[in-house]
Amino acid sequence: MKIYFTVIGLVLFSLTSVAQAIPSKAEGFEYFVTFGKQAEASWGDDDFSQTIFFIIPKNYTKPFYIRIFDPEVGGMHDEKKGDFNTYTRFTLYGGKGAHSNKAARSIDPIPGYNSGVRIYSKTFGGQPQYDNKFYVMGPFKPIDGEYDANMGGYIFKITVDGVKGDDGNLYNFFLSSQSNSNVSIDGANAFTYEYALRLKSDGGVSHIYPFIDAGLSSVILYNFDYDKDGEVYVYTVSKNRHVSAVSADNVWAKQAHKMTKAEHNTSMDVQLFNKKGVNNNVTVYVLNQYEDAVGFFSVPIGGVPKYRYKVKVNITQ
Amino acid sequence: MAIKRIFNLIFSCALAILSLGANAQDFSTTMFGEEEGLEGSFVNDAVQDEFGYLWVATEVSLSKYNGVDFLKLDIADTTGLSYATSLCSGGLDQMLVGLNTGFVLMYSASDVDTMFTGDSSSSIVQMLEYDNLFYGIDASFNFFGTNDSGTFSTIRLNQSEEIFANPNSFQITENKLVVGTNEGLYIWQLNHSDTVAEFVSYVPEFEFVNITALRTIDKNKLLVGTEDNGFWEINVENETESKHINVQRSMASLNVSDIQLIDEKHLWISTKFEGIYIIELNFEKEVTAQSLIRHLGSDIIPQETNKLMLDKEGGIWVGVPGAGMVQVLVNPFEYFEDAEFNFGKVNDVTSFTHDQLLIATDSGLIIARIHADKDSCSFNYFENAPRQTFSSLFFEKQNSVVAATVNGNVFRITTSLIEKIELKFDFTGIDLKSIRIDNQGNFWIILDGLGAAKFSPNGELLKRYDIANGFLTNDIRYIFFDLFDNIFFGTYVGGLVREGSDGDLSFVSKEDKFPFVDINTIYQHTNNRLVIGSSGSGLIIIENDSLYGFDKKDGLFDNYVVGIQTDENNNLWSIHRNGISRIDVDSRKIISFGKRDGFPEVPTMTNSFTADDFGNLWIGHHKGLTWLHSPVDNYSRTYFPTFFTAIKSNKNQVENQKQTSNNESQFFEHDKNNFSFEFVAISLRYPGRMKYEYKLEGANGEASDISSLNRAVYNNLSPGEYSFKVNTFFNGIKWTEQPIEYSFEIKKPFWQELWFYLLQFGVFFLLVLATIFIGIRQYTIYTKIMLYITLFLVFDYVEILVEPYFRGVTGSAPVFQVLSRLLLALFLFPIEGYLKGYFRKRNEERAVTTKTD
Repeated sequence: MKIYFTVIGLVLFSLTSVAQAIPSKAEGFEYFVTFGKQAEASWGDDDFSQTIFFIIPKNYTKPFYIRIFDPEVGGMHDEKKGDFNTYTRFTLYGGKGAHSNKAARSIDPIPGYNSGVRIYSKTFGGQPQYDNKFYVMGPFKPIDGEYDANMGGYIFKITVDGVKGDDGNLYNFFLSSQSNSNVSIDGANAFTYEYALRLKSDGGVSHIYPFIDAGLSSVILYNFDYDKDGEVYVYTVSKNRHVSAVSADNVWAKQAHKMTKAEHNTSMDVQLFNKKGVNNNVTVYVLNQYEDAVGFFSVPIGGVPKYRYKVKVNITQ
Repeated sequence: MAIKRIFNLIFSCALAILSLGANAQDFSTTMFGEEEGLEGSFVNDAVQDEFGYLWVATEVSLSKYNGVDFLKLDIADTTGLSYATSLCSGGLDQMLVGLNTGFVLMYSASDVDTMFTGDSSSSIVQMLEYDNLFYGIDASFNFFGTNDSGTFSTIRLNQSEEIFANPNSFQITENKLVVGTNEGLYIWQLNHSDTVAEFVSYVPEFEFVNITALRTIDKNKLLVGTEDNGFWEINVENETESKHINVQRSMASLNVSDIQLIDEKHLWISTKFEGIYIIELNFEKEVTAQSLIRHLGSDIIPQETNKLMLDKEGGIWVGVPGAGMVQVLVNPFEYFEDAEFNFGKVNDVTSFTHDQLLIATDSGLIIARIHADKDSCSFNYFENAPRQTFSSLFFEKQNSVVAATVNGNVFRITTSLIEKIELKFDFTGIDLKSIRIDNQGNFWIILDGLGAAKFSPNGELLKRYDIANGFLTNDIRYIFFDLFDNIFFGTYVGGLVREGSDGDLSFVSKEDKFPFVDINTIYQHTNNRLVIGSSGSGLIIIENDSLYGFDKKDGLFDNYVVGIQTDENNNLWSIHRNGISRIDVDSRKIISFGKRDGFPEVPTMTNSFTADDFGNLWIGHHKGLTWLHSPVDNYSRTYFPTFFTAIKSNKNQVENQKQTSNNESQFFEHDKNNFSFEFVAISLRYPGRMKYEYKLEGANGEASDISSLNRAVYNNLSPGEYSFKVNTFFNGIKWTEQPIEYSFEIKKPFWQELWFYLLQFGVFFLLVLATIFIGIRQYTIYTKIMLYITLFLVFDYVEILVEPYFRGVTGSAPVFQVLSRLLLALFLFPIEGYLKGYFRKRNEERAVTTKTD
């Protein structure tokens, strides 16, 4: 049986995790994007579905909330195609199979991706009361998640599906201990296997942080619909600004990167640059050499990787 | 001279408006969480059963609350992962419990049965509802119900297309199943005993709306609570065609968690983040009107709330996610007093307009405005009324009150003017205590210490009522006009006096068996009951020709009655100096409220009270007003069933603990004669006020003292018939109409049965006969031994038989036991001698006969 994450990785995880916004400050970009299912994939969302996993540490027993920022479709932030006519469904799962089911860890919404016990679901259309505001899901009980001893806590899954329409819903999350404000939960984290995101358009850089497990000899980095409007670089403890392929409009690009022992049990920093002033939605994911999806964490496990320079010292007499 | 003023707004006067906002003391709350014994912090459901237990299902426990403790119940589950998600009372002694696994269990006093197991797709049972039959729905949209034989089966919900939504709640109205989901409202046609329900419609107004609560108002009308879309009223007509639904929306921004109908007009709504709203509904109009009565903010209750449950005593239980639950009790009393305003002693209070009262005080005439929406009251001096001591008020009609000052000035006050009425009488040195107006418009004035006077509508003195005119006393306290044109005078010392329509006076005195001589107040209640309140003897009711009364021994708060009033529900209230009593005249049950219920510790002034248009009672005090809430009628006659929680014989639970009639005793063997009885009457509102008196008939025991002890033990009961009886007392009043009773019989052991006694006698008789027979035949040493043994056995048996009776007289002193044995021996000794002599003689005779032969 595969162990998704090594013990070392989990130790590092527990030392570094503080739940915060998702996407996090470390990730740099602001919004996920999910289009309605009548949209064109060429707008940047390949499957009109997003899955995010949350981990609640086992020693946290109080209620928690998932605050969704701007969940509705319309008004500010969202991407309009014609008139706003889109509905997006946010569904929370817990219980057995929420993460352990293989389909849940797929990069696409294949049958079984909605495994687990459905705890809560809410569909948003154009509700102005949630435009540029938080909607609060919860309170939820930690024990309703799927307990994973390796993860040291309870896993919950949120799927975001565009059920109707063709507009793009831009939103983000905060995993909070309070309903009316964003208060982090110590030891909590979030991860996923694929992102559909809106790249920063101010010249800044967006990041994703796949965790490089001990068993990985190589990873393949995929991106979709980048429109050739920027660059992608890879940083690890051993790689310093390795170039990765950038896709064109409505197509995928991929690039393999070999992983060394030094990079095992560390995070990889995939930096996504976008042309300034351009609104660009892209989809990214990472596969390992077994073609299994590699999870990337909102808070990078072990911290943001820093390239370790090799310094040669010559001693002269 | 009439003083006419036009008022634009009563309250636009120079004096500051003093609003006394409702404080948190009008509600009392108690939090129940881990510290109070509730396991778990998320209440999934709460239901009160017929015995009064509050069943609570949390994410980790199922328990019953008896007002004191949470009694945890096991959930019969081998996995250990199940928890209760839904509860439904199925009648006496039955509770249906839905689990997160889709199972439904039935809990009764003796057992837990699995009623429904669902299938592989079953999941969290969201709700169980009882509508002559039981129904349930789980999170996977599996719907099930009981058939006529009481077994559960799945009812397939036909769908026009796949439903992704999660059901949150459902209601059944006539033949319609209405399901509220997180993505809208669905309706099916549901016919009794069918296993399939046909899809009717998806209500378009609720597309993608999270329906969080449904409540049936009547057969076709429902209230719909939504998460972020307010609450609605919909009408589901009973037709097979779809889309016959009218919706009306209100409170659009409300984020509803649950809805609970308190009575036919009032609604409590719990919200996700905004606490609780209390709404009044008016269904009489074509379009239902609603008005906000009250919002319970964070000063009263945590603002994150979910489940609501109303218990039988009017308490509201509110789930607070992550913390447990809160019991909310509406305090009956709210006291208004403004130290700054300081209007002094309140002499009288009366209703004035729909939302205003007039208060007669020592410092002047005050108008009080009721702000029903804010649950508060503001006070102002009545402009242009003199700043004199106002002693009395009389309500003529809406917007018209006659007010009198102590020095004899009388005014007619309306919303637009204040008009002086001249009474042709010299009030110099005389205090005007009270003013009344009869149906003919005559003024009736009580003069302090000088009897009463009657004036014509234009102020002419018509008649005096005092000692000089036939009264026994000049101390008249109250004048009352009944429906038959009789006029009653309540006096001190002189008792009750009646003036008939012919003008003749009749004095109802002690000789006429009327017990009161000091009367404070007289009132006409329903059914022509005349209710008379006294100072020191309670109150008496004259109904037709019968006379009966209530005093402190019957549970009345006090024997000093300062007022009598009826509320909007026709309940009779007696008002006392420091408390109030509600009297159910038909059942003779009284509930009293005093300081510990929030009644203020300031004396109430005699006859200083009124009922407003909203049905609330207002009571005047030394320097303030008490408002007795009526909108939420938490004084409905509460019922606390008394029942046995455990009956044990020799520490083993008795199987059938139902109360029995005298003809249905249970039988126990003689050695199962140690009994214990546990009993209780549950009150969630007044858990400490229940007291019990018990007695075991058949044991010659006295009734116990009335105390809170709810357990009795009896050991070594003798064989016989017994009946254990318990009465419950609440607030000092016997609450059980008939005591609960458990009858049983302890069988005698076989050796106490008649047949055994007869057998014993038979054996001894045969032994004696055999001894005599043998002794006659041959008198040998063996015969002598046999004789001694027989006599010894007889002696011992008789001694054992009579000893308990002897001991009852002489006690256990050894000297008496020895004496008794000696007496018996002395009694038997001559018998022995005689028998020996007889045997010897017979043997000698036989020997002679044989020799002769």
